Amino acid sequence: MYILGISCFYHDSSATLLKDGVVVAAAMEERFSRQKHDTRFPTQAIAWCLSHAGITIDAVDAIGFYEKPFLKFERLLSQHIAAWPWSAKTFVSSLPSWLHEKLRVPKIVKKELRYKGDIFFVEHHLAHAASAFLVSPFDRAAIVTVDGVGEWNTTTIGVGNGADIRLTNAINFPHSLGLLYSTITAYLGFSVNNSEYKVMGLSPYGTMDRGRNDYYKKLRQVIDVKPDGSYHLDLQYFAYHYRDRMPSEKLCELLGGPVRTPDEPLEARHKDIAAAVQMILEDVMTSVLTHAHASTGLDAVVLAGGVALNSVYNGKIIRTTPFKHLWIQPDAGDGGTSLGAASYVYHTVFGKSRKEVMGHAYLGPGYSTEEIRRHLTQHSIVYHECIDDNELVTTTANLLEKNQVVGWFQGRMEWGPRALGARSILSNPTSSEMQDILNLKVKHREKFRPFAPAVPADDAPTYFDCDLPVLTSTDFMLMVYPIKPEWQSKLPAITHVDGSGRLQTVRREQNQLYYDLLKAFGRKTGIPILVNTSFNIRGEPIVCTPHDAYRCMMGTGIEYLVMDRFIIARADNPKDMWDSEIYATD
Amino acid sequence: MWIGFRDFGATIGVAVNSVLLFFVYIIAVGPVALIGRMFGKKFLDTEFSKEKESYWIPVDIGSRAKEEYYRQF
Repeated sequence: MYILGISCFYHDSSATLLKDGVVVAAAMEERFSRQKHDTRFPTQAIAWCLSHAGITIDAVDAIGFYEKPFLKFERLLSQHIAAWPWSAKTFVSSLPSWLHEKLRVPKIVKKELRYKGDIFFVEHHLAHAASAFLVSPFDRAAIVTVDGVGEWNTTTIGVGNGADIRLTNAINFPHSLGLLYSTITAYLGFSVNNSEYKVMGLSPYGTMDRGRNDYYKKLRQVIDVKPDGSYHLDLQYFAYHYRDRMPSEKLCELLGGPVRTPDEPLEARHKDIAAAVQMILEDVMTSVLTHAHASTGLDAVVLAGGVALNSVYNGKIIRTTPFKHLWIQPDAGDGGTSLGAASYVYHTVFGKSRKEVMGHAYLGPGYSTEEIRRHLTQHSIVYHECIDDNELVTTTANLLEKNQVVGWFQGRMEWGPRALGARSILSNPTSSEMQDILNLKVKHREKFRPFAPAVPADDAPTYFDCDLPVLTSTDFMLMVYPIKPEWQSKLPAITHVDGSGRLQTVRREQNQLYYDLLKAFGRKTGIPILVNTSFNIRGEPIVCTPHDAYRCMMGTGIEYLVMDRFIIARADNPKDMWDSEIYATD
Repeated sequence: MWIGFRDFGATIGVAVNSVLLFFVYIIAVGPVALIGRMFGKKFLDTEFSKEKESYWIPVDIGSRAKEEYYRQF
C-alpha cells in the first residue's frame, strides 16, 4: 500500500512516500527547484518520490494533506474581521493565493498529478504530532507540538499510544510562542520563517542571566505564563494578526528603538534582546513540558513543530524537565508534516500497525557511481577515482588534516534542514582559522554564527557534556550541548562563545563511510571530530545533484569535492566558473 | 514580446483583483465586523488576564472516523 504525504503553500513544501508504512522517499521541493523555502505545490519532489519507488501516481492508494485548509481560512477571516478596518492591506494581498490555490487543494492535486483517489486532510498539529510519534522508538509517549500557527492551534499537548494519537490541550492563535520568537527575529532585522536560528545563535553573546538582562524583564511583560505552562501574549505588542509586519510600535517603544535594518551593526542591545527571547522560550517550554509530564504520567516525550528545531533548548530538556526520554525527528518543522500526514493516514486512518523507527535521515535522492561517472565525463571534469572506500577515507582525512575544505557528497540526500554527512562541507575543527576560512571561502555568513561538529556517537561523551546514552535526536543535529572545558581551546572552529556545540553524532550503521572518515581523521589528529556545515552557499538550498555540488564547489573556495568514489580538485578544473559571493543572500 | 504581454496582463490582473477585493473588504467584511462588535462578538481571543488560572483549551484532536478526514474543515 502506497501513501503519499504532501505539505505546501505555506513554507518548506515537501513530499513523503510510504510503502506499507515504511518511508521509501522524502524530500523538500526546494532541493529540486533550487528556491529556498519553496512554498509551491511540490511537483518535482512528488515526481522524484514516485520515480524512486518505480511507480506512477495510479499506484498511490491515498494522499494525506498536512492541514485542513477551510479551518485555516476561517482563522484568516476571523483575523480580518477582528481587525477591520486596519487589515485592509493584508486582506487584499493575502486573499488571491487562497482563492487560486489554498482553497482548491483537491483540484490542484488532480491537475498536477492526474490523481483520482482519496485525499485525507489531517489537522496541522496532528500532522506534526504524527511526524514525531509514529516513527519514534516509543509505544507510548507524551506529545508536544509548538510552532507559529497551524489552523488555529499554536501549541498542543497529547498522548500517542500504539498507532493512536490524541491531542487534548491547546493554545490557539493569536497566542503563539513560535510567533513571539519570529517577532523578535523580525525586530532584530532577520527574515521570519528562515532566520530564527540566527537569533538562537546570537543569544549567547547577550546576557543569559534573567536577573541582569533588562530586556528579559521587559519581554516578560508581553507574555503571561501560568504555572501549568499555558500562556497568552499581550497583543498590544504585536501586529502579525492584522498587518504585514510582526512587531507593533508599542513593542519597539518597549525595546527602546525601531526595528533593526539588516545592514545595521549588531549592538549589545540586540544581543541582549536575542538572549531575552531565548530565555523566555526556555521558560515557557520547560513549563509546558513539565505540565505535559504531569498530565500524561509518561516518561517519554516526542516534540514537533518549528520550535522543536531550537537545538539550544532541546539540549536542556532531559536536565530541566521530568522527562527521561526524548525523540525529535530530523524535519520537525513544517517540511516534516508531509511525513506526518502520510503516517497518520496509513497508521491511524487505515488502522495499520506501526513498523518503522526512523533510524536515519537519508531519505532523499541518491546517485549511483555510474551516474556520477557519466556526469563527470560528459562535462569533461577532471577527477581521481579511488579504488576502494579505504583509499577514499584515507585521502579525504589527509586533505582535511591539511586544512583543506572538502565538499562531501555521498549516498542519499538528508531529510530535513540539516546536512548530516550526505551533502556536507567538512573541514578541520582544530584550526583556529577555520571559521574565517569557511566564511571567506564558502558560506559568506555572519561571524557570530557557529559551525557544527560531527563526532562518532561512541566518542561524543569524551568531548561533550551530552545526555547519556546519546539520544538518537543528536544524530539529527537537533541538540546543543556544552563542550567539555578541556577540549574547547582545542576545537576553536566549533566552540561557540558560550562553550557549546550543536553536535551531530554519527553511528556506523547509519552512514558507514562518514563514520569511518571521522575515525580516520581521529587517528591522524587525535580528535575524531569534523566541522560539518551544509553544502550550499548562504541563500541557496543544500545541493541535491552532482551538478549542484560541482557548481557550488566551482563558485566558492571549496578545494575538493568528494563525490561517491571520485575526488575532484578545484585546482584541476576551470577557474572562476561563477562567483557565489554575489548571490549570497539571507 | 510575449513575455511583455504576459507581464502586462499579470499586472492588470493584480490591479483588478486588488480593487475587487478591497470592495469585498468594505462591503462584506465591514458589516460583519461592525455587527459583531455591536453584539460583543470576539472573533479572536485576545484575553490577557493575570487572574485566570490557565489558558489551556481542552480539545479532542485525532482518532476520529475515517470520513472526518475527507473534510477540509
